[in-house]
Amino acid sequence: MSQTVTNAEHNVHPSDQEGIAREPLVLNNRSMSWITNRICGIVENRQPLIWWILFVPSVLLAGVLGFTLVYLVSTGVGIWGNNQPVAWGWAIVNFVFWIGIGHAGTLISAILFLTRQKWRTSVNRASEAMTLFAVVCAGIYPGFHVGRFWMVWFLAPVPNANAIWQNFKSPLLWDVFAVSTYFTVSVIFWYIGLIPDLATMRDRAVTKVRKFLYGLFALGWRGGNRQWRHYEMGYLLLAALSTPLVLSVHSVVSFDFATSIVPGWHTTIFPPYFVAGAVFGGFAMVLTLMLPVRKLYGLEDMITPKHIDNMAKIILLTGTIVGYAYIMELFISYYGANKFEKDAFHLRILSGHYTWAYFCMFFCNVISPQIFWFAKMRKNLWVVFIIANFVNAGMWFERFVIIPTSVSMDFLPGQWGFYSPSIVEKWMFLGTFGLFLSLFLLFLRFLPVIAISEVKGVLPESDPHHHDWEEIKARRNAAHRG
Amino acid sequence: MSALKSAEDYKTGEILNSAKAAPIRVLFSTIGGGATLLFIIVALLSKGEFQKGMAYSWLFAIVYFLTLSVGCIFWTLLHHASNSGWGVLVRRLMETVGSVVPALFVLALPIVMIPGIRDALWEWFPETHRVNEEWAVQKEDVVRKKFEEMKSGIDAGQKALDAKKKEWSASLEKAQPGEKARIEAEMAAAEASQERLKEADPSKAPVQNEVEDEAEAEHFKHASPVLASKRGYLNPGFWYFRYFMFAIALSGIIFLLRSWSLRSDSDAAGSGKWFRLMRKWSCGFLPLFAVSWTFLMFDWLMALDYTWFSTMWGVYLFAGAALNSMAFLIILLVGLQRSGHLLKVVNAEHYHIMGKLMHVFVIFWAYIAFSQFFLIWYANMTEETKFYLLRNSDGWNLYAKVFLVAGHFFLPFVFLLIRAMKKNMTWIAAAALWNLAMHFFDLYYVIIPERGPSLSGGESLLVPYAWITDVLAFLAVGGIFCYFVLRNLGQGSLYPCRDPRLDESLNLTN
Repeated sequence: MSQTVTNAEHNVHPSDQEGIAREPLVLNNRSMSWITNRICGIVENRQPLIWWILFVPSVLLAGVLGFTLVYLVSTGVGIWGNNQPVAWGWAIVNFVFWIGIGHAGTLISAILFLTRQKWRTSVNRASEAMTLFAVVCAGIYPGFHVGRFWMVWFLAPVPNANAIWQNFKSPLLWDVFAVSTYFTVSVIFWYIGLIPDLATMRDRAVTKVRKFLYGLFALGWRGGNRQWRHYEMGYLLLAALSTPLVLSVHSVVSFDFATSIVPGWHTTIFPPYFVAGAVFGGFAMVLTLMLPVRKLYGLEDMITPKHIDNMAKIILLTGTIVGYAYIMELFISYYGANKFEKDAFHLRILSGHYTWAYFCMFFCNVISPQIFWFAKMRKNLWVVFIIANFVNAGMWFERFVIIPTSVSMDFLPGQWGFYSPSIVEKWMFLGTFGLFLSLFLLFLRFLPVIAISEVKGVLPESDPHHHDWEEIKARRNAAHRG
Repeated sequence: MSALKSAEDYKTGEILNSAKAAPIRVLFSTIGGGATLLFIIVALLSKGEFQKGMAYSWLFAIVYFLTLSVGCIFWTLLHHASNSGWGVLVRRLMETVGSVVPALFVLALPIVMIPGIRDALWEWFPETHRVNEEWAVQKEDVVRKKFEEMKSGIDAGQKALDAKKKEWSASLEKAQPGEKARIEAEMAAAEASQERLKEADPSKAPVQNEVEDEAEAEHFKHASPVLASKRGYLNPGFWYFRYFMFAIALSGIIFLLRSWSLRSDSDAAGSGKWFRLMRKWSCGFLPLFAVSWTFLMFDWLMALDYTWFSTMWGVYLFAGAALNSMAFLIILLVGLQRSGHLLKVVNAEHYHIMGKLMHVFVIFWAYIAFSQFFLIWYANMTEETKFYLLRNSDGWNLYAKVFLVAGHFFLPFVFLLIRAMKKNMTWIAAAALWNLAMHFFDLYYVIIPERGPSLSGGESLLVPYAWITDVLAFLAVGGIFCYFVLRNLGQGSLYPCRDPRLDESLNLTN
């Protein structure tokens, strides 16, 4: 077998050998019209049964979220498990968890756009949508954590009659700015990206209502040269604007902890470590959502094994970066010779209430992705799906390990306590999953899940030099054989 | 006729014009050699703080050029691991600059190997030495006392046991059957515990060693508490072991990648083989690279004050290394093109990408530097703030504002936003030179403020006139570094001419 491969390879120039030649981003030579039909078809045709099977429970779960929130507001934050010393429990854990997930979308759209990674086109739309929904879920927690929800507007530095002055020195206030800016720009970015596809939907619409609505949001897009020229420039500028935002949001979230002096919270590597972790968790969620979507709607030719391979590699890379940060924390807690820091990590990994959480985190985030060193494993969709879910869980555990465990046993042993979430918190967390999934399923139902115009742009025939490349290829192979 | 360039036309490669390179090599070796000689003469003739301060000068120069070299190892690894196409034409330059790493580790030997120089830099060495000396003096007394205590403990235990045995045998005679068993058990337990005591008889050799070690650890903890708690890491044996391991790891990585790359140039049929090999190993080398670099910088720079620490340290020095190695590559490329090399293959598009990467790392460096500073400032914990407290004292404060905040970040950030600047050979070279100068100030800020307080016992911030030897060392190591870069550049084609991705790099568009 290997002999035949070698013989075949001898006739092909190294550049065109398997494993070296660039893999096509759309398989089976699909045409532009096939792409349009396939993607628009998802919205235009009836949803498969499984969509309903997922949607109904999700909405119900979202309803549970609404119920718990009403209960929370009418009763008070006391129904959560928060206590002294753990004043920040699941609420903040879940906030950071969801915010972290909301990073992959803009990373794929903005950073991969700036670095000219063409494979992003098949997954950027859905990940951006996922980002927005995740940020919505995240925003619920701090909003309601203020206790008197109707006063949440005091977070914003607007003039008020109560002479309340927001504390600009507090990272919590920076969070308000960072998250709301990120959300706003992400919405704009996502919407701008949608415009050409909305116009496509409008042009294909068969009912008047659809035509009107898609037409309204397509903002009169005609696809002319001038429009494209402005559009591309606008998109580029937004990408450049979003990039620092991706970094800043999670850096600011990390400041919530790292600016304090609590052992286990205060360490200088937190900002880049949080950003890497967010990208890590975000990509895991993208894979968790897109693997089923790809299968369900027959998108295998656009979300190819190559795309999944790339995302698995990003998970491996960021997982290892996160591992580097864990090891730096451990090493410096030893090397730093600070008694409290040493004790905090001793409790965290050896003798505390929550050591099991630390090992769950370490296994899920650092050990399990190492399987992606093997190409075969990156090609096995079940393995990818399972590892992605390990990562989802691991990133939740990471926040749990950092937040409640550090404060449950800090400086004064007399003040030590134990935290476990109340039933309301648990249902609330499940409820956010319901909300998240409902929103995502509605997105699948009403908007094109893949950026049609962008995928067309990466087809080989879209390259003005397509034929020149073919010539070059023919020439090098002729020379190679001759 | 195709509108694109075909790699078939460029597969013979291009070699360095030795007639043009030779005089420059001579120039560099003269500067490097001359400055080294002068540096040694000054070192031999001077004395006191000034002489000891020269250790910092040499360390500074070594670290500066090491960052350039190690940064290029990173770019080579990244090129392969990310399956990059654009960088093929400049990859040979990365490999070449990276291949100077072993020379720098050799040049670092004097500061590592000569105790007098080494101790001026890393105070934990003389501190360890001091504590050990003290121990050598006290050891006999302390250990003897311990032994005596233990022996008398055993004797006293034996006596007490004998007395109790008498009591027990008396009470055994009178005891009820149920009680008997209890007394016998008590007796057995007491005997066993006496046996255990006897096992720790200090006249036995293993027990002696154990007791000695324990006493020594106790002494160390008492004499130098902070160092004692990190002695498992900061001890001479392990430190030297790490030095050689990191030197071997970093040199080994680039040696392998460069030699595979050079061999692929002449292997017409199988360049795919080398390509695969380099890609595969580069991915595996990345973690090794990260660990080596991080802990090397802990050992060399963070340990300049062994009581200070920061988890961000490795990332911070990596950011500067990646940024400035790219700047150095740009200068090297411009130099080569100005002297008539690579003119047909490298164009404005390549400069554009390199400029963008430089820009990214200008931002990344600022992000890391700011985060580290900011978190330490905000938390305001004594053991952490000492680093910045020293660097906020006196002139260092203004220095940081001018060179690091404005010079290292704001100016190049704004300048490199402009696309035209990145595509213009002259301007991008100017920006690269600027960054390299700011990198000088950055590392100077990291290393040199430690010198004055360390050598004067906290009396003064600066050693007078020491900047002269800083510049001298910079010229010496810089001259030797550039000489090696040019020498290694002449050892093969200036670009990997049979790389399977050459077509992509030749026809690069942004």
